[in-house]
Amino acid sequence: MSTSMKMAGYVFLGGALGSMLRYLLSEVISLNAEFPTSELIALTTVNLLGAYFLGLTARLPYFQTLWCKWLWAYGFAGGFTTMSAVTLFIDIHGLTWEIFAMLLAGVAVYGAGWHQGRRVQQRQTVE
Amino acid sequence: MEPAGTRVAGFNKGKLLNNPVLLTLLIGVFGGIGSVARVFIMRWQGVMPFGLFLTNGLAALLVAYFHAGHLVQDYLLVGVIGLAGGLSTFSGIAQAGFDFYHRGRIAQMLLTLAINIVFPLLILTLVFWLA
Repeated sequence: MSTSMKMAGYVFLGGALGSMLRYLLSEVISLNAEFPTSELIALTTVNLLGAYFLGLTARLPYFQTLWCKWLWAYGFAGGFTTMSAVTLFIDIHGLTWEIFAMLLAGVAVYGAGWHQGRRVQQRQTVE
Repeated sequence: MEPAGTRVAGFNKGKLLNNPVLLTLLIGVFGGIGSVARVFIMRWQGVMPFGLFLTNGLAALLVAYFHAGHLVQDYLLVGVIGLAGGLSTFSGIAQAGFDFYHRGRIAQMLLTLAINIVFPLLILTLVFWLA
């Protein structure tokens, strides 16, 4: 099997897992809040969690094998987060400060995951 | 325009939506297909992450197309949450933004964030306007 096909398989698996988890999580959150608020809470939760997770996968030693990268970083973290729903939310409710906050927080949270992963990596290298 | 969110009160539920397990699995399958497409599109890298803009733009186009009424209501959730959700990515934006920030390229970081908001929004508005 070619590398491309193998990658597609792992990414498909991760993306499917991420998408299902995102849907279930947003359904659970929508039970606890009214429509526009629930959508915003769900989007923020999912996107920030996914961004943090992708930051972790970038440096954490466990994720440094090729198939782990395909499955967890490209597939899962990418499929778990969404921008299309954010775009639709902006179109309906306007460009509010929450969206800007989410974008900047996404970068910050990715950075937090990245640094955390690097710290573990350095500790393992020293040992 | 009527609010087109998926959880609007009185949202018309079809036959497929009565089976939550099947619906979740279908969302998973289409999310996987979207993810594979995203990885291949995101190989287009240059001065800016053009592939990232393209995937998010394409996802916005799909969302607008589905919401504009060109799809049976039953499959709206699968198309929007599954396919478009799997195709678009927020963590990729965070990654590109942090990479630029880490290399001290603040202007490119802010531009990446701004383009990722404006470009899909433009496509969405355009498709809603044309439909």
